[in-house]
Amino acid sequence: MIENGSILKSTYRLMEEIGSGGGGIVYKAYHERLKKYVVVKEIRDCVKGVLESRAEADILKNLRQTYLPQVFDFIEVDEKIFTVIDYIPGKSMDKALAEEGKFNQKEVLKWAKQLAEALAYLHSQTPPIIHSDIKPANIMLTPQRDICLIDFNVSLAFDEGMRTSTGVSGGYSPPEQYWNYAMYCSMTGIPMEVKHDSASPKESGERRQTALVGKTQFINQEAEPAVLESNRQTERLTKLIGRGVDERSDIYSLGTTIYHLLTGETPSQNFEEIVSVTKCDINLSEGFGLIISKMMELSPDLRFQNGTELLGALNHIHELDWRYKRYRQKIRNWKCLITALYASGIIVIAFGVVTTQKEHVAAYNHAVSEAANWISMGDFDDAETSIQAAMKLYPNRLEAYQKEILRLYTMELYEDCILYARNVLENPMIMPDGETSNSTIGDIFYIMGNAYFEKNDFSNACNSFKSAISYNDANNLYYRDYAVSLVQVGNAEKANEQLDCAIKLGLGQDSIYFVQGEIAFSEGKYSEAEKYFTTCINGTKSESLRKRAVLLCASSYKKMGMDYLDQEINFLEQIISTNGRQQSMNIVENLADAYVRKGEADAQNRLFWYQKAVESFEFLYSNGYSTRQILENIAVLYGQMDQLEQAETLLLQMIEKYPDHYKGYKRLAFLEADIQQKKPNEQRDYQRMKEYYEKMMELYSTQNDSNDVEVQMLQNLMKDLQDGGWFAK
Amino acid sequence: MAVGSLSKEELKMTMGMLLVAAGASMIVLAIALSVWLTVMGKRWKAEIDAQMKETY
Repeated sequence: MIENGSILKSTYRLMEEIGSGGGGIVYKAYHERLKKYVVVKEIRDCVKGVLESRAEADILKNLRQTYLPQVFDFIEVDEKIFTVIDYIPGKSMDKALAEEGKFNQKEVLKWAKQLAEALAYLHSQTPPIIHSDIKPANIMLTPQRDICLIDFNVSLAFDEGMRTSTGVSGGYSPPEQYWNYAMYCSMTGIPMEVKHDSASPKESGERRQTALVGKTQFINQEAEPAVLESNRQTERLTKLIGRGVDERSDIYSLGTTIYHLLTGETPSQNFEEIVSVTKCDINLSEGFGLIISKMMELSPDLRFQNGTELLGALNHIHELDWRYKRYRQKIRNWKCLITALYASGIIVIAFGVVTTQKEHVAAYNHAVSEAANWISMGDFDDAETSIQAAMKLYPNRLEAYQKEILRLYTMELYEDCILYARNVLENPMIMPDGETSNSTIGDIFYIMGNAYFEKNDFSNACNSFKSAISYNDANNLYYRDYAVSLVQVGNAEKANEQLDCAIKLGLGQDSIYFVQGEIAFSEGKYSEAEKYFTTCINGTKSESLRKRAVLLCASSYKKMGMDYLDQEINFLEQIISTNGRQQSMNIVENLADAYVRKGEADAQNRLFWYQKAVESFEFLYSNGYSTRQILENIAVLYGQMDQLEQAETLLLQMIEKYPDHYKGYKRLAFLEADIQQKKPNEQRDYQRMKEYYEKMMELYSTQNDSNDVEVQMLQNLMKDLQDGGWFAK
Repeated sequence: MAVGSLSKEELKMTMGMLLVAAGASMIVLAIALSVWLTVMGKRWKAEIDAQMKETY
């Protein structure tokens, strides 16, 4: 006992005794140097040893937290250790409770958060500091109605491992803080009979087994359910009691303290009789009720594990409120609905796009195959319509363009076909990559090669077929036609190589005969060639191959000389009668040429053959074969047959249709010469002929064809007429 | 054009386009609802915050 007014360590003047507890007397003192009030408190003997090390004392002195008093010093007087701490003005919470009865939730929640902050700070120290005696009496309420947690048990700061408490506060201490079940029973007044070892955990320094042999020993089958439940709880308590305190013990004590503040009643010392805070007749929110219940769980494992966890829960207490939960659920539901809408929208769009795309592809393929059918049937207008429809669907896909090229080729518009094919092949927009495209590109080169071939441009035909093979080397027709073109450029050896390749790729016998005929033809073996072509014609099912074989067979006859002219005419007439004239335009042209040659050879029946030739040419001209050459041929034939007026009419048509070509004027000049030739000398007038000649010369000079023999002849004729003075008249 | 006069392919294509339109409408609706929820969410949050402040 130290007297009031005495000065400790020349610094602390004791003012008055303000309390006393298990540890000793608590004084209000005045710090002489700092000029402020402090509290000097004697600390328990058991802590003395711990605090002899300055390091531990420094840890306590370094604690700084708004809701904890600051420890200034540890002093030793008369072998007693005192701690000097902040003086907190105000009153303890138990006095406040005595005055005000209980507090409302809002205020208690504020203090709970402050206390949780203080605990979070203590528990986060290394090692964690356990208060172990949280109760209203150890909480100061300042005049500003904030709190301060005082009297924390310094002994628990440095006791590693299982900690043992120095004391128990009935109603506030958790089960694990009791040393053993006997202690608990003695404090709560529960009757029991226990058999336990004599040493307490504190005494032995280790946990001791406490065996319950009291009322639980007499549990029997007939026991009432309530009794059974009670017995189960008791058994559970015996397992929890004596386990030692840790951070979770402070959580329990704080829970009971809050319980007291809200209800105005100390929780029952008997754990089995504690009434849940949620069942008390107070105005308590759901969230706070849940937090307090969790804090007051008997099992430490079920409580918040430390002050930080508790503080987190209190800061988010609103999230436990049913109204907040309902709000969150409402937001979640809307978000789910919107997400589902987005997802459904994307799925439906994807499904729609796939469906449309699939139909587009089907429609495209249908249009392309329809175009191919129209082309094979010779209906080029409908083929064009289908091709245009296909191109409209997929302007970048190649197949429709390939069909257009085929259409132009089949229409024998070879120049247009080549031009179109070149444009397609050079257009990067309609040349996508890929295996299918390679095959189509191969086809385009193949058709282009055939078009060159038809124009007798065999060199370019060879190049085109070679390109076709580079894109698709599995099509034997490419090799076949390449071989044929090579024959035309005089490379029979390479042609044979290509033919071998074609045979390896399964080239049909008809095609083999055809190529062999071509090779024989190129080598001047026309009779042999004629046999090959005839065999091919009789054996092939390919219309195009047959047509080409027919033309070449006719050429073979032609090359074999005039002795075979009748055979040639018979052959061609037979083919035309079999196929029909409409399907054999090229053959009709060849036949007309044969008639002309026959007319030239057979002077007696010249008119007859010329007439047949004119008929054939006129048929061609009126069936879409309206070329300048055909028109010129007809006019020449009319001239030969002395039908000069008809010849003139046709030639005038020709210059009207082809005004920039010199040949119309050339023919007219010759015709005019013939007309004047037939007149008596005095009636002749070569003025018109001169006009035609001058016009012809004007156009001739602009054109590349500078080796026209007939122009030379006409020039000579004009010179003779000039020399003869026919223009001087 | 009457539906009866459409070919099977045209019907499928029309259905595909209708699906695309329906999907697009759903996404537009979802966007509209997102905007609405953003606005309403703020209002609801303010209301609940006021209630929570009053209680706690």
